Parts: sequence; structure tokens; C-alpha cells
Amino acid sequence: MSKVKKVMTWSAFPSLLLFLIFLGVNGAVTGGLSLSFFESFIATNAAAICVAIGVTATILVAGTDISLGSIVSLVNVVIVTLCEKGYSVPAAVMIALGCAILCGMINGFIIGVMRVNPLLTTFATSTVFAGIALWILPYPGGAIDFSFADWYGSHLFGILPMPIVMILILVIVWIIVMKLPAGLHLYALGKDVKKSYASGINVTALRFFVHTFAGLAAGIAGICISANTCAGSPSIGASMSMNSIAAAVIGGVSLNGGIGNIWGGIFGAAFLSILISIVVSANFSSFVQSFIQGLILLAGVVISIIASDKTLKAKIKRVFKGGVK
Amino acid sequence: MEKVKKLNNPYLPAIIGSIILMILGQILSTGFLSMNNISSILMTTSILTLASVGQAAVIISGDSGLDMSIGAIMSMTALFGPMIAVGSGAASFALMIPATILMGAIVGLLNGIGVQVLKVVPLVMTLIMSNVVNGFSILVTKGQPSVTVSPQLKSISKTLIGPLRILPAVIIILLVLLEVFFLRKSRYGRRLFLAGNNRNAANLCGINSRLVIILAYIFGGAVAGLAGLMLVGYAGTAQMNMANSYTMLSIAAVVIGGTKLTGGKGTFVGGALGSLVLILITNILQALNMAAGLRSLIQGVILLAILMVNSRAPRMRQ
Amino acid sequence: MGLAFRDISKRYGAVVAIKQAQMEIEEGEVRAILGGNGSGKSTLAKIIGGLISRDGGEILFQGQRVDFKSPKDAKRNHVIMTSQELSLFGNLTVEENICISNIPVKGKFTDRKRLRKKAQDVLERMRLDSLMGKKVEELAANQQYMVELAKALVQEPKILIIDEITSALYREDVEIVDDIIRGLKKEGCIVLFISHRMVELYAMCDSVTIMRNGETLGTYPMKEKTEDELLSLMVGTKIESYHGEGRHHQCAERDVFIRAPRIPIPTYGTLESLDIGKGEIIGVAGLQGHGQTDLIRALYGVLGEIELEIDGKVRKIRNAKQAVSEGFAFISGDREKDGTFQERSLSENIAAVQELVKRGKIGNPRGILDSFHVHYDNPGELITSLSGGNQQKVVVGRWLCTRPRLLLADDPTKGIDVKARTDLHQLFAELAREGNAVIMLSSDDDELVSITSMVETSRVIVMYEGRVSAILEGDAINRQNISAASMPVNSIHDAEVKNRKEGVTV
Repeated sequence: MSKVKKVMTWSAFPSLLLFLIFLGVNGAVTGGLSLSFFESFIATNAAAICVAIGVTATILVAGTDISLGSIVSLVNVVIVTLCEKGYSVPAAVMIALGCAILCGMINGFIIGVMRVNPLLTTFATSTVFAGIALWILPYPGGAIDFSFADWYGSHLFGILPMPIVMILILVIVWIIVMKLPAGLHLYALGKDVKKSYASGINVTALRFFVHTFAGLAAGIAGICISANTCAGSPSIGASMSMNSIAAAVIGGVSLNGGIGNIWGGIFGAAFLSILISIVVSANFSSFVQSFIQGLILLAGVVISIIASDKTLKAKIKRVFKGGVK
Repeated sequence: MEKVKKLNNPYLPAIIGSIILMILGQILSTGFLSMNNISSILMTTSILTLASVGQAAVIISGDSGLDMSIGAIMSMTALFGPMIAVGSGAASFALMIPATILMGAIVGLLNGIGVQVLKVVPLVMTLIMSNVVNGFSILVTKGQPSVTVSPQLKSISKTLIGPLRILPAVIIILLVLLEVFFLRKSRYGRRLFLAGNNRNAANLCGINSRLVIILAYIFGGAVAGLAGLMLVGYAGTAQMNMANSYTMLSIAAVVIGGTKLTGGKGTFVGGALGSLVLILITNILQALNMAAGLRSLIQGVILLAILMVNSRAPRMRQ
Repeated sequence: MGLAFRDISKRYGAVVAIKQAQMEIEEGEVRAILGGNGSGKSTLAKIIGGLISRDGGEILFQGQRVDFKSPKDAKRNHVIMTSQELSLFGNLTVEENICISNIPVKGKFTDRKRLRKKAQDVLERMRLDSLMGKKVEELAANQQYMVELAKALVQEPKILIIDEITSALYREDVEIVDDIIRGLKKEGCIVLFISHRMVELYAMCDSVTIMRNGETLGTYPMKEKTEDELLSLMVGTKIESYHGEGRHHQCAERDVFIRAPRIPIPTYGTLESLDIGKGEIIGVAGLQGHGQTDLIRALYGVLGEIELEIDGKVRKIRNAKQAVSEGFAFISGDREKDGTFQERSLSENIAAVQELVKRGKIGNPRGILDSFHVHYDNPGELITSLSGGNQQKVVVGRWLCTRPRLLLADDPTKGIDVKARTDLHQLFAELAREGNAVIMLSSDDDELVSITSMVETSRVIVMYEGRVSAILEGDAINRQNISAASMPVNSIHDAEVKNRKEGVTV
């Protein structure tokens, strides 16, 4: 009983439930759930999930990062350009990943050490990163060797699909961090900066770390999206920043910090992705789709914020308790 | 003398910046300060100025206010505005102006409600709103805008005297009117500053800060709506998302013009000067045949530099 | 050799918080520090805890000179402070909070088992193991205080400073605290106990140091002094210099202007009532945080809707705007948060309320600034270019030029100099003499005594734990009476325990 209750009150539970329900709906619409559908779904949306993981980490410490989409674009452009220049795919991927981490470290430096507002900082750096991507590759084009796509479609040890492995890398890194004392410190920092400082927590280092981690997440997202498309586009990640924030909010991560976990980001992103794929498969014209997607984002964020409103929750609780008596 | 000095202080960086940039432009590419080029710089500056006026009102309203939907609103009205046709071309043009202002104001109202009533962080709210607005534009135009800009609308870029064309002249007059009679002298303007500076104290003084801030978003949206119409009149054709870069440019213009992002302080004129600086930078980079990506990179770095000088949080230890 | 302070002094700007404080405490001694508001007892505690620096003097611990640069530094030396401002994180569990300052590790990783064990041990000692696993934000205020104490115990204190932690505790909890302190005593720990509850001080402490106006007046064995003796030591004999003989008149008749039958005090969940007379100054006294601020703000309508009977007519006030239109004014001592518009000019700051009251007609800012004796260059300069006292005069002037019928002042003279303070008192008294009412909260009892002596029909109400514990009139308004009413000995405490047994949540 208490275990059931624990799961029900888990902050990521509503988004998990929503994801499963709409996965079912999608199955009903397209005629049954198949493993192959699930695999292609994950392959397409692993990038969005990775970015959501990254942004969730920054939101947990009461920050945010809207430059991740630009980092994804940059990674894609770097991989394509290096491949065209004759680099091997693994080398290109590793260099691109390094760029992404560097971008995250730049964010972390300006936010943690220079103490500039995370929102404005990442807003400015997002134009910088997007600018670099556009500078390197002004027009969509270029191709990556299809061995990259084959690798992405392969299974680790014959069972684990590569996109899942990519997500798992981030999850494992994050779980390790959560097991360190820093994990507790992260949540404390998200709740109150001043109290954290008074409790001897290294605020600067933690902020630097989460943005670097977010950079890593965007880097892996960039690898996923590049492997999935095998083509280059300087604006491929443009819409991802905002969608990932919406995903985190839907996943029960509080924009005020300190509440939620990366599973919320993962399931929030998965839910948004499945919803979008339903909208796509529901035979709406493509013009309606982007409008509906915008509305879904808006509704999701607004509903999540209203739902996490404490005074409202208390009101509902009181009504509920009154009913029991 | 002392007074003049004090008055000009927040504008000084922008004024000095633009003078240096003009000289630099002339050195780097001959003909930069030609009548023709100055005229086109003034044109684009006045459109960005309009956008920055809307942005400034929202930033002044405080509460980490920021309007990320300015570009989307401009893109939308640039598409929808010219579609209005009633009777003669002149009548249509007369209707376009209030119609685009109204469109922008509605989006601004939704932003204001989201930010002040539903308590969504302004950045997230207006970002998502920009997505909705862009989606709405695609929905209505079916992704293929077929906009014919009427001669009346195009006439905003007709020459008046020397390098001065109609639009910049109107904008300069409008700017001064707004600055003096809206921001400085009106009761609303005073309340906007008070609510933006110290919301708590303003509430205790009996000011309905929430309403004041929502009105700022409506004003911002309305002005952006008008700016979109002016943009399409100047450009002559409309495309999807044609004004999206104006969001970032308007914020940068306001910040360069000496307005703090913390709210409660700022001017429209500063935004105009900031716009001039940004347009000059873009113009020089264009004159140097610099790629679009590099331009965006340089603009971002400039904004970052301003942030690091202008808006650092105080140290933890007192 | 235990802990010794030699000539400790501390000043904030021009204000002297502590001058030449002396104290010596043996190992295993529990020492009470007793003093009124602003006597410097909390400042002294913070200096030992490493939270603030000292300007002079030295601290000797076990014969060694010590100098803690930060709370972390102090903690390393097992000097632990539990403060009034809680340091708990609501989103973390009780055990995580208890261990956050020194998380046990196995290798590099958090050792959850030991963390839980550590918290379990200390909570069992406090008979609070039922709190394990709960989030701190789910706990009641008194439980949070207990967790705060547990957090201190886990750090194995050699010096433990308890700053008014017992003010929110129930009797059962107090017994637990008592047990724990006895245990610490046996281990040779030094405990500094700052509290105003005489019962507890007598039960737990060995000795008491009296502080007044930043000075340590003397240390006495607890048992040797009666409560009255301690109180009079605390208050001193300075009262005569504050108001002349016979200037307080006995119970003058007053017209009732506003009746407030139900004033909510949210901090304590209590309700109070108050009748406000015309031409009256009501002083609100009490130790800090006993609901005085709530009382003032509730009357202004900013703590939710309040029903008032104004001149015999029932009015509902929901927000500040309605209060302003009824002719109310609100001045806060927290200038930066509630008063000034720091990015705006003097004239804008002066005009902030006028247009609401006078329908847009704004007086000449120069005239207003001059009439309130503000020192300024020109009305266009930023308000931050003035001194604190002058800034407060601008805020007061903003309201007084509208001639409010009821002035609500929440410690309006906090942190301003004596001259500015007397200027404000004159202005308030003038307003009251015109037939308006003034309700003023002050953390300085002398100030209340002096301002109420300026207007005949005046009262001082004293608050304790969310209730009015005394209403003083006429000659009864003096420091002794205010202090005594601020710290009732028995009555309130018992009522609280009774309430709890009856299931009333406080």
C-alpha cells in the first residue's frame, strides 16, 4: 500500500502515466503496439529526451538553459563538416562531443563564476552557438556515412538499442552524481542559495557542473539526431530548447528549483514526443500541426504549473478531507 | 551644464558607440556614409526602434519581464496586415494600422495573463507564445504566404527630405510623444516605473501592480504588431517568420540603451539609440560581406559582454 | 578553562551593537543571556558562531585565541549555532537535513545507511524518531525547530548556541530539550541559551548574564536572583529621562473611530480585536515576532480581507488600494523592501500615493520635501542619494501629505538617527492631534513610552504569542510594565498546552 502511494506521489508519475496512456492511444490509432514502432520512436526522439535531461539538471538548481538547442545544431554541423573533410565518423563524433561540453563549460563559467542570470546568459550564448553553426554550414546539406546510421540502429549486446544506450549514459552519469554528497547539495541549492552557502555548499562549483552536464546532454542529443538523419542542418535543434523546458515542467520539475528529477524530464519529453507523433499521424494538414503543437506545449506548461500550485493543492486537499469526515 | 551631463549619462555609451561605428564603417567601406546608405540605415533603425519600444515597456515592468514573442508577433502582422482589403487602397491601409495593433495587443494580453495570473516565468511564457503565434501564422497562410503589399503601405519608405523618409520621420515624432506623454507624464507611465522598481512597495501604495504589468505586455504586443506592418511595408514582400530575429535584437537594443533588465528604469529613446548601434553593426558586417552566422556570433558576443558588465549578481558574502 | 570573551565590540555603521562585552563560561555550564530588544544578545551569539565579524576584543576557547571566519570554520571547531532564521531545506527529508553539513561518505559516495543511522541516533535521543523519512516542509513549526536542534547535535558541539529556539516549542518538547542539555552538560559542552521564557531559564540554566544596550551588565547564579530582580536589571532605571512627570494622563475619554473585532494574526493563527479612537496614538509593543507586524498589516488589508467598522459603517478592506481610499496609510521600517523606489527620483517617490488620493493633483514636491525637513539637492535626484533617515522622511512625507485618517506604522524609525527619529515623532503626534489615529509598532520600548507621552489619549498594547497580553494606559505606560507584559510567566504557556490537548492547532 505504502509503495503504491509512493509511486503515486512521485513527481514524475503524472508524466509517466500520460506517456503510457498516449502510447496506448497511439497504438490503438495505428493498429497495435509493436516493438519496431517503439524502437523507431526512441530513435527519432532520443535527442529530445537527452536535451530534456540536460535542461532538467539546470532547472533543479533553480537555473535554466535555453542554449541547448543551439548546441545540438552545432554538434550536428561539426559532425557533418568533419565527415565531409575526411575525418572518420568516430573521430568527428568525439570532437563534436568535446565542443558541446566546452559550450556547457562556457555557460557554467559565466553563470557560476561570473554570477550572471542563467536565463539571459544562455539566451546570449544560444545566439553565439547558433551563429557558429550557421557560420560553419550556412545552408542545410552534407551527408554522413551511412555506417553511422547503421551503428545507431544496432543493438548493444544484441538487445539494447543504441538510442537507449545513449540516454542510459546520461542517466547513469546523473545517478552517480546523485549518489555523491553533491547530489543532496544540488537539491539544497535549488531550494535556497543563501541557506546553501551558509551550510558550506560550494554554489559556484555546482552551477558550473550542471551546465557542463547540460552541455554533455546536448552533445549526446546532437549525436543521436545526426545519426538519425545522417544530414546536416544549422537549425536542426532550434525548437528543442523550448520544448525541453516544457517537457521538464510537464514532468513535475519545478521552475523554482529543488523539486523533481530527471525521470520527469525523460517522461515529459517522451509524452510530448508521442503526442506530436499522434498529431502527425492523425492526418492533420502540416499547417495545423505546428499550431496544435504550440497549443499543447502551452496547455501542458500552464496545467503543470497550476497543478503544482501549493495553495490550490491545499484547497483541493481540504475539500477532500472534508468529504471523508 | 551639470544637468545636461546627468541627462545624457545613460545614453552616452550608445551615442559614442554609434559615432565610432559610423567612422569605422566609412573607413572599412567607402560610401558607407552616403545619403543612400544613411537613409536605409534610418529606415531599418526605425523599425527596430518600434520593436524596442515594446520590449522596453515589458522590461521596465519588472518581475524578470521579457517579451520573447516580439519577433513572432511582428512576423504574424507582417503576413496578416497586408491581407486586409476594404474598398480603396487608402481605406485598407487606414484599417491595417488599428487591426495589426489589435492583433499584437491580443497576444500581449495572453502573455500578460500567463505571466501575472498563471505565474509562468515570463521567458517561458513568451517563448511558448511565440511558438503558438508562429504556428497560427502557418495555419492561416497554409505555409505559403501570398502577400501583395499595397502601394500605400509601400509608400512609408518614400523620401521626404534628404536621407529622411516618411517612416523614420513618423517614428521619431512618435518616439518623442511616447517618451514624454506616455512614459514620463502619464499616470500609467509613473505607475509602470513604480511597479517595475519595487512591486511590494507599489502594492502597499495602493497601486494594482498586476494590472499595470499586464498592460505593459499588452502595450508591448500592440507596438510589435505595428512594427510588423511597417516591416512588410519596407520589405515589400512577406515570408514566414521573417521578423524572428527582432526578438533578440530588441532586447539587445534596450540593454545597450542603458535600460536595466531588473526593471523599474529605462527609456524608449535609449532603445532607439541602441537600435541605431545594432543596425550600424549589422550594416558594417554586411558591408564587409560577413556571413549571417558570423554576424549572429558577433551580436551574441556583444550581448554577452554587456551582460557581464551590466547584470552580475552581488557576492554571497556581504 | 572554558570560553571567555574579552572586550568584544561590534558596530553597524554608526550604531553600536555591542560595546566591551565580557563573559566567562566554564565547561559544562549552561549560561542564559537575558536582555531586551536590541540589547545585543543575538549579535553576540552570531559573533561566536562565525556569522558576523567583530570589530574588537578577543575570544578565548580552552585557553586558545580563536577567530572564526565563517560558519563553516566555526563548525569545524564544533561551535554550533541554532538560529532564529531556520537553516533547513524544506524539499529534503529530515535525515538529509540533519546531515547536510557533513554527509557521511563511503569512498566518494554518500553512505545512506550511516546517514540514516546518524540521524536515527540523534532523533531517538530526542524521542523524535517518528519524524524519520518525512520532508521538512511537512513538519509543524515546533518540529522544525527540533530538527534544527538535532542538526546541531549531530555536529557534536563543544559550544552550542541556542538562539530563542524554544519560543515555538510545546511543553513536552521543552522537556526533551531540557534532557538533551543535561546530557551535553555531562559531556562538558558549553551551552549559551538565549530565551525570554523565565520558566525555562530557571529550569535549565546555571547562570545568567544580563545585557542592556550592547553591554554585559553582570553575571549571576540563576538561583540567586528572583524574576523581578532580573527584569529590573534588564530594564535599568533610565525611564525617568524619557518622559516628564505626570504627562501621561489617566484614561482620557475618546471617540471610537474604527472598531476591528476580528484581526487575524496568521503567524500564530489567533484573532485579536481593537478599538481605535480619534486623535489617539496606539503603541504596539512586545518581543520581536509575536504578531505585532501581523496586526498592523492585517488592519491595512494586505493579509486578506478584513471587516472594519469605520465611523459606525461596516467596511470590508481587501487590499491596499481600498485601505488607501479609506484614508489609511502604511509606513514600514523595512525601507528597501516596502518603502522606497530606489531607481526613481525624490519627486516620484513623494508622488507615489498622492494621485490615488487626490485624483491626480500632485503637490509641489519641493514644498513637501521642505515641510518634512528633508535634506536634498533637487527633487530630480535619486532617492538613494539621501541618507537612511532622510529616505524614511520621504516615505513618511509621501503619506502624510495626503493627511491620512489612520496611520499604520511598522517600526518606522528602524535604523535612523535620533534627530530624524524625533522629527518623525513630532509629525506623528501632530497628525494625531488633528483628530487622526496613529498605530505604531516599535521594537524599542523607550520610543513607545516617549511617543505616547506626546499625546494625551494614548495607549500601548503589548503582544505575546499572537495575543494582546496587556493594554497600558496613562501612567501605566513605562518600561517595566511593557517588559513584564512582553514576558508573561505562566498563564500563556499553560493555555497553549491546554489548546493542544483539545486538538486546537496553533
